[in-house]
Amino acid sequence: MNLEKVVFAFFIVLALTLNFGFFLGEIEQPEHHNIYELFAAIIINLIATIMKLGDRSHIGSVLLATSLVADLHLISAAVVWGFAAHIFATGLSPEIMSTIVSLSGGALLANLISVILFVSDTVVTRR
Amino acid sequence: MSSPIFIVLQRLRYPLLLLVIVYSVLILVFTIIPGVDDKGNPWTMSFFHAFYFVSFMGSTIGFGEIPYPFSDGQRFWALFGIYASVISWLYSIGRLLQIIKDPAFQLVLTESMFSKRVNRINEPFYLICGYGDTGKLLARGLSELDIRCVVLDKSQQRIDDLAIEENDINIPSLCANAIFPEVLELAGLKHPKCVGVLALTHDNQVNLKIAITSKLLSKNINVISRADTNDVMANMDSFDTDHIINPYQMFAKRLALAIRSPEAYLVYEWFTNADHRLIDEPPVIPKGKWLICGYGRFGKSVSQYLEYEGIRTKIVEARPQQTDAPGDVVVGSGTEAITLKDAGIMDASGVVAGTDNDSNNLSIIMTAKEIKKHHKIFTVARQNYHRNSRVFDAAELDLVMQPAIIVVREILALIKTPLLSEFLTLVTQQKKDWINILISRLSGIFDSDTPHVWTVSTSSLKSSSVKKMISEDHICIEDLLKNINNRDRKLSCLALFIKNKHHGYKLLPDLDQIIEVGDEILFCGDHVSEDSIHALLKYDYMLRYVKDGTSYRKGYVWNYFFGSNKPGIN
Repeated sequence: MNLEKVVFAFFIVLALTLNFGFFLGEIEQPEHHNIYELFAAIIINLIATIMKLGDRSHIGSVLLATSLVADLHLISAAVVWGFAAHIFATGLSPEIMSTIVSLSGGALLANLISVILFVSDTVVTRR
Repeated sequence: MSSPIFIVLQRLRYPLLLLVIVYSVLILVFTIIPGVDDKGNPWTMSFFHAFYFVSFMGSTIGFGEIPYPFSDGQRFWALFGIYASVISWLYSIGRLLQIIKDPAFQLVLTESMFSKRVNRINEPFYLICGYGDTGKLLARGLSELDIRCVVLDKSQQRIDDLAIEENDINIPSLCANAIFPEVLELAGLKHPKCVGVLALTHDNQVNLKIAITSKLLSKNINVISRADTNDVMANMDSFDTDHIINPYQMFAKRLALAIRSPEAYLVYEWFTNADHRLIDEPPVIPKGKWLICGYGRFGKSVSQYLEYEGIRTKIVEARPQQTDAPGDVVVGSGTEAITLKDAGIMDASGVVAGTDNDSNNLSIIMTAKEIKKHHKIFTVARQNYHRNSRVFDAAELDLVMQPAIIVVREILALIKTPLLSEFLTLVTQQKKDWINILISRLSGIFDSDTPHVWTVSTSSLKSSSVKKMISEDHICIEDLLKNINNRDRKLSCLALFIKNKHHGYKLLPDLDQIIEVGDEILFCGDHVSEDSIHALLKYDYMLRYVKDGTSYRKGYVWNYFFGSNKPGIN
């Protein structure tokens, strides 16, 4: 057992689960997608990205890349949300909501790849 | 090696984590704390407003309470936020400065910048290892020829010197030890444009290591190395180092040449030394007894070559045991009159000051001159450091041996015209009459100008029609030496040497010598002649004109309509 490894794994998995939680629900329904969950997903993703910066192995660079992809998707989703709520006249229309959720879907995929890589790397080295 | 940006990010992990956490907590709480809008209705900040407020609060810009005046709860949280964000920013910036000032990081940064500069080079360049006297003079010489180079030296001071010095071309340089293969690779050993490695450090073993590494890691590279002793020379030769230069031996050989054949020496000097003129008298070297002070690498070479020429030598050496001096050595440094008298300076006709200490060498020469005030004595001194040139000039020596200059001249000649050194080696083996013919022909072209020498290769010609003419039409040297504007006039130019892989070589080829594809020809003449000959070997119509006088028109179309012989018929 190594505390550092536990924390590392914790954030990688948490980034995926929060992302999934936000993604879950009718794609057009604003009530199904909580803004706090999106916020948490962004923060945890950023933390996971920073933690991956330290890893110098080859798998480390792929992990970092997937994390950066997830960050990009989630921050775009947040920006769209901010524009819709404060700048566009339409407000959170179904079209906007589906854009936000599909962007978070992209991030979900990147996070999923990240977790799969992490798990497979663990399995290979622990054997 | 990781790039510097990743090293910074990796070391900034904790400051970045702290900033993300502080910001996220501040934003989150601001979206929860209840406030009141301008009409008195309850209101909470959206994430957008919270992020906006925290951003300008954290950077202490302070736009005020936006969009509505804060409630007490919000003010309380803002108070906390100001301190939390300012402290985390101070910590992060402090860490960043610490990383940048870290010597290890600075090293990575310099190396990566150096490697980028090397990789950006898109013309042929040489890699110079060792930036002492030799390296410095060579870099200057190369930049005058518009040839790029990269410099490695293990002393930071010398690299700083290079940065201050004014060179015409920018020279990437790095302070690193060139005996490590990865350093050589960093400096462009495997770069496709790297044409040669020049190992010029003062340490024979280092030069040896550089030469062997370069030969092993890069197959088609030209390796030129300095070596001071015979066993290192033999060692380098054993793994095909392209050129090995021993300045002591070269000087001794030239001294011997000046004794054996002053005319050949004159030609040699004229081609390799820009200050020497063809009309100068060759030095008259006396054949009596010679005193050699200092039996190091230099003294050994000189005494060996003088003895080949049948000249008696007497050695003066301060440490006969260490230097393996012969039995009849006179012990002493040679700087005192008594030692020189012991060695028999009164009946000596030449003195060589060859220690590794410049002031001792000058002292030896001055003492010898003082003793032989009323007789002539031939003086030769070794000058170890280039910076002492003024004193050595003032001492009015007959010959000065400067290792750095000898090495630099040789390397520049090899780089500029590889055929020249081959030619000169052959010249030194010729008879006196032949050399006199060469000198008279040369002085017919040049009076006092420094020679301009260049090589023409008929195997690397771009124009296929010129190649075809050369292989079919019996073009001879005489044709090449005709003026392209008027074939009745001749260029002031001389063909010195023809070399062909299959037919061997020919010195001073006759005018009716027929040129073949694969010939390399060494010419000597003025710049106009060089341009003219290059033009002849580029355009077939010019070659045809000088060959048989067929006047050439502008081009294909012109020729088709107005030319006397229509193209494609012959």
